[in-house]
Formats: sequence, structure tokens, C-alpha cells
Amino acid sequence: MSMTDKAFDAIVMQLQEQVFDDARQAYGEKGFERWRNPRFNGPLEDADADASGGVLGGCGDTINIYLKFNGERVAKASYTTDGCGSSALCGSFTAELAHGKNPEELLELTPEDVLNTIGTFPSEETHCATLAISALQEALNNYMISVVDRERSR
Amino acid sequence: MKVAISAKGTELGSEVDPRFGRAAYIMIVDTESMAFEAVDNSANVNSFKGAGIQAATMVHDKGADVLMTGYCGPKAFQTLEAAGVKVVSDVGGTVAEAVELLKADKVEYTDAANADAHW
Repeated sequence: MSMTDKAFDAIVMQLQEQVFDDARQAYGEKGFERWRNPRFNGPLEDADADASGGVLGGCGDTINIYLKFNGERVAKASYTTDGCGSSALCGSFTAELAHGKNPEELLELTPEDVLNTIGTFPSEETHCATLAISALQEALNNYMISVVDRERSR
Repeated sequence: MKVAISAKGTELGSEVDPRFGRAAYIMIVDTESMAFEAVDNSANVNSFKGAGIQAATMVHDKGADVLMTGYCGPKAFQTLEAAGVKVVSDVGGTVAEAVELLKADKVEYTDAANADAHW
């Protein structure tokens, strides 16, 4: 290898800038900001339910959603994913949308709601929103099962 | 020679992870002694700034001459090319099998990315 470390670093920096430009174009300013600072990322220690470790999408990405209820409504929600930036964005906005909602309202959330909230999103990646909502519904389903079990054991 | 291989686990018997930037681990293997190091790539999985570039820079920093993986995106490929790291893509099987292919000279080095840009 003849290239100096300095020249290599310069190339890496330049590619990094290109990635930021591409991501800004793909996700818009709102999505780009979230991509850089993903909110609601990471497991919830005190979650009432999650999506049984995560839902695997056809693209190979897994998204998990964690829910913590306070009474009837979601007090905290978060996501984890091993997938791409698009999966992370959809997970983050799905967790955001879940906040403050009761089970009935959660059931009404659709992938379109997630995509509308992000605003700008690549059309070939919209399956990530479907995956994030599937994870939310799976987590909700697990929560409802646990509620029924608790009531039965009383 | 040192080879970097994207892997799902931390052993020579682990499966090759087809993803490069978001591979669970990057194995750095010395093809002479078969000594290896499994580099945890999980921080990179959630780096949100171009996982391929980060992983490619790490491969360079570890002194690998060759990268073997499934899919290599354009940014990762450009980074590896700049670093003088040769790339073998469409690799499957186990890490040990990949090393054997390389040692037997049964690999074809690619001259282009074989995956689309993906953040």
C-alpha cells in the first residue's frame, strides 16, 4: 500500500460526507436528524412486553419494540434493530407514535402513519415501516396476553 | 497474510455473515498460524453514519490484506480500495472454509461493489 494514512483519512472523510448528503436526501432533514440522533433506541429494562425478541422481516432485518404501560396508556416505548438506518428510523418513529396511546389506539397505527410522520422516505424501503408496525402489534399482543393471564390468576 | 471475514459468531467454525458493515463480528485471521481475533462489530451496527465505511476503516486499521464477505456496498468498497485491501464477495460457508479457499488460491477478487448503497 503506497497511500499515506493522511490521504486515506481524507478519502474516508470525503466518503463520510457523501453518506451524510445521501442520507439527507433520502430521509429529508427531519429523518436525517433522527438518523443521527436515534431517539428511543435500546431495550427498556422495565418493559411490560416486547415483540418476543423481535420480528424478522423479509429483508433479513429484525426490529423489536418494547412497551411500558402506566394504567391504560403507554408511558414508555423503545426499539432495537440489527438492521439498516431505514429500519432504525421506522423503529424510532413507531416507538414515538406509541407513546400515550391505549391498546385500541395502538391497534389503529399503520405503516402509513409512520411514513407520514417521517415525511421523506425512500419508496424501496417502506417495508421497514411495515416491519416496525408488526413488531409493535406483536408487543401489544404479548402485553394483552399478560394482562389476561394476570386477571385469570387472581 | 491477514484476512478479515464478516462472521455471525466468534469462532473459526462460525458462519460467514453476508452483511459487511452490519456483520455481528469481523474475524481477523492470520492465514499462516490460523491465529484469529473476533472484533465485535455491534457498535457499528448502530453507528448511523455509514456502517460500511466504519467497518472498512477498522479492517484497514487491523492490517488485513483481504476482506471476504457476502455483500459489499459502494462506500465500503471505495474505502477498502483506498486502503489497498482486496475484496472477495459472495462468500458463504464458515470462516474456516473461507480461509481455506483463500489459501488454496480459489478466490476471485472483485473490482466493484456488489450491493447498493444502504445506510
